[in-house]
Amino acid sequence: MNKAAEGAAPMVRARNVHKSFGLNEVLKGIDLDVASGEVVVVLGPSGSGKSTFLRCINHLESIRRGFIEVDGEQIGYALRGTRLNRLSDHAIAVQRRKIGMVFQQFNLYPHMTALENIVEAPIGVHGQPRREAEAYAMELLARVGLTEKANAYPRQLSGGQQQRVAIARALAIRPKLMLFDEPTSALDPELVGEVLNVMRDLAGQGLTMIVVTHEIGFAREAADRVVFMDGGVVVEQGPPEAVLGNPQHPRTRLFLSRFIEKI
Amino acid sequence: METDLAKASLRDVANAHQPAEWGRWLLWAFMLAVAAEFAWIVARNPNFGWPIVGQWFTEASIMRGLGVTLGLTVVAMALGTALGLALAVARMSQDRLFGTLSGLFIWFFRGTPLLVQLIFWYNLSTLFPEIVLKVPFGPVLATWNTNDLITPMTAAIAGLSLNEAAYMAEVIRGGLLSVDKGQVEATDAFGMTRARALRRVIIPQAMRSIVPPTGNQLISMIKATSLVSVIAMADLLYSAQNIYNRTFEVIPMLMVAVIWYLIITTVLNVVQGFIERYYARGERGTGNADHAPVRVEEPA
Repeated sequence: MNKAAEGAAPMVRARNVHKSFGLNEVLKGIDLDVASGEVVVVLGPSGSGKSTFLRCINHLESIRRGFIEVDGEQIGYALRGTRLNRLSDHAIAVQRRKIGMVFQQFNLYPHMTALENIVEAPIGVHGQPRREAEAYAMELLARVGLTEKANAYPRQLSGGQQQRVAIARALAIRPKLMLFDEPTSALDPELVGEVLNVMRDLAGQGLTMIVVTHEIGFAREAADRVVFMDGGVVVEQGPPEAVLGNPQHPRTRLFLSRFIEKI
Repeated sequence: METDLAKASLRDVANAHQPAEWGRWLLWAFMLAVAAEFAWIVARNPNFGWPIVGQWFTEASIMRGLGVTLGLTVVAMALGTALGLALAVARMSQDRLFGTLSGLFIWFFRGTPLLVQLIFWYNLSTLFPEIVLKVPFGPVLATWNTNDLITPMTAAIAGLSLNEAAYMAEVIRGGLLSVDKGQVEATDAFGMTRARALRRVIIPQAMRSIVPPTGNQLISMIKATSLVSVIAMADLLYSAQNIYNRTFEVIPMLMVAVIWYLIITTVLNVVQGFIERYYARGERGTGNADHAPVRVEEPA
């Protein structure tokens, strides 16, 4: 199935992932591989567990069963001989440093300018020299079309601009994997396009991306593979033209039918 | 049509006038007159002994007392804030042990009167003649004579700063709780260590809600230092009392102390204003972004 089958070890490997909040089981055995350079768009109704699954990949949520591997390393745990040990907070922090994340609510640091937001992790976490980090940050701001907003505080930017800064901030750590958690859901409709354009550019540049979204159009144009989740399981997956154009599962059809007028 | 237009230009709010508010002016005038007369009465009242106030205002023992009050306040506040931060972080951590210890500390030091705590610290040697560093049920590593450790100064610093730490812990915890959860998530997702996330992202945002109650704490602390007079520390109030015990000029000497306390408090209020404005950056349109949509503040 697509690039996942072609290459060597996948960038992300999830096996039988279970997750519960109290008695409510939100993930009921997810299996998913994402190849290096692949763009996977995860679709599904609200409450399907797609955001939760994304947040499990960088261990913002811990899982109850199964395992998740990123770039060949199990997230959150380490195998010592035959014994699986939970990793320390610090070791988990180190694992997260190659994964970029973009949040629905942007989560920019409000007391820092756009530029300061972007260089914070490269300087403070990755130990880059300030000059180098700032030069790369300006390059990234240019890529998201916000060069002139380098010294603006988040409060002074529109939602779309904030999200583009947040994307630049995630890219600044030169991630091997980018996670997008409903990046356009908090935006006014007229601002969605500018963010999707930036993401489309990234998808074309060989970055490994997992995007949880409701933007069917984006999935159609930019995804290598579409994964449809419902009720905590992967219902159907495949190339966008297959899943979106000729869905096999009734639940996928039902979900897509609600978007007909939007497409 | 013509008349309508004329009417429209008359209704343009750009030409609006503020009607004179005679009632408010009258009230102002009345209040000013009351204040002026009250000031005049106080100034003319011989019982306040203003010449004596002037005479003792900058006297050497008063200045030394002022120094002790300021020094104690600064030291106790600094130690209290540092320890309070540690307690707040411990109390909010997932770690049961640290959380419980911090909770117990706050429970005890907030739950007992400061005056009693000061007396206990000062008389520690009657409870524990020796202070010993040792392994529990194991060998002794070091021993000190309590009387050598506890002077009025150390008792005062210990009493004030431990008590302050308990209150500051709650002030800081409230501030940390006020920071949006998404901020913590962002620092987690970027692989920041807990310490760095606190220092760079969480605390700077928490400061907006920490500073005002801390100003409150600081001003309480300045006056709380006067309690150390019970353990023979010569602070501002104690020095004033020392003088009126000899001269019997009770009211003038208390006025000396009161005026100094008010001066310090006024200075601190001004400083607090500056600090609050600093931590509000990013909240208002303080950046140099051109044409950025800036949230317009309602005029007060």
